[in-house]
Amino acid sequence: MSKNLRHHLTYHLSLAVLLLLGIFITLQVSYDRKLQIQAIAATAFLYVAWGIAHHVLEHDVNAKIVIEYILMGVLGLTISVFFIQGAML
Amino acid sequence: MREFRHLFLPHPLNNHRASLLHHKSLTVIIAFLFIQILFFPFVKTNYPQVLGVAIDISSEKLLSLTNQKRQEAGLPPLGLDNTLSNAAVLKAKDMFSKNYWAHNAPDGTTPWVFIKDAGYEYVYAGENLARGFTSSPSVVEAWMRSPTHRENVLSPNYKDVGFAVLQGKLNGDETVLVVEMFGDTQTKPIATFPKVPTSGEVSGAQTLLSVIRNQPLINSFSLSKNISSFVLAMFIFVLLLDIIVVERKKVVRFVGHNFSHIFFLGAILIIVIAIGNGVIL
Repeated sequence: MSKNLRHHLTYHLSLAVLLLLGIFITLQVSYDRKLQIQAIAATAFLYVAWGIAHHVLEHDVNAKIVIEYILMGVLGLTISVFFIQGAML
Repeated sequence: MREFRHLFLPHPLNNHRASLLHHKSLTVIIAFLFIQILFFPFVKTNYPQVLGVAIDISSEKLLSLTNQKRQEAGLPPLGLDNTLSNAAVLKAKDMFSKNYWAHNAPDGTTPWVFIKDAGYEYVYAGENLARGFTSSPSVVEAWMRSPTHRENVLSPNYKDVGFAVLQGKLNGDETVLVVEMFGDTQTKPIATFPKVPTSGEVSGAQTLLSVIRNQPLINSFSLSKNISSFVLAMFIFVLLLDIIVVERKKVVRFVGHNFSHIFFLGAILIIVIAIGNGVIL
């Protein structure tokens, strides 16, 4: 296995673990909508942090990339809140 | 047409990045969703007949579906017992007033206390709980998927059943609670099958039926789920297209990793699809 492939696998495996944990916790607290939103917000925050850290370690981070990750994180969170609010009585 | 295509496909004119993935477009979509987040509760509160969550749960339908499952398993049907239904109402009201979601109350009160307090002298008793469901079939199907709840529904030890369907606030969220209580006052085994009641037939003289029905013009649950799923699927599709086109044209860009964004939005899509179907206990 090449060093580059191993390097990317490690990054993506860590992301997969983070996201699977986020999904698991969000579904586990399905009895409380506010806790669900908090779990998704934590997942989105960790995703943004993971994305920025990834680019820092790859030495190709810039302001545009940071904003892109922040916007993706906010988009995911906003969609979730929009859906959860619509599902609430 | 060209501008429309540039929304979804990378091109030199959009700086080799689908316009939908530009910061400006993402900000506009986030702002639009944010306005909807503020707008939805306003419409739901002031015009509940137009926008709201469609609910149709009744103890009559729950009884009919429970007995259908029992008959499919070759078991005698349960009779709707008003005393058990009273016990179920007491339990549901207790959960709302003490703000808990459990078989045992925070002070240690067990479900059997409510059954005794209602005046049902049980030999066998059981309890199934559900919350957040919007239809009777979805409640019974969820119980049937869980081995322990299924065991209650299909137990030969029970003869009677009672239901409570109540709406109220739990942990600050408006929700619908369903309490199903099973029981039998006689010792087992009963050698003969009782007369098979038709759906909705009850054992008591008076029927205690609880119903929650709400049919707004637009079901906010389906609407928000469809919009959320569509937006997420669209972004995942555009990110995939972006990967394919950029790989094919060998364009070098300094942007975030599309695969990471796809993983993240995919996780949100899984959450949107999986949640909101109610929970059982």
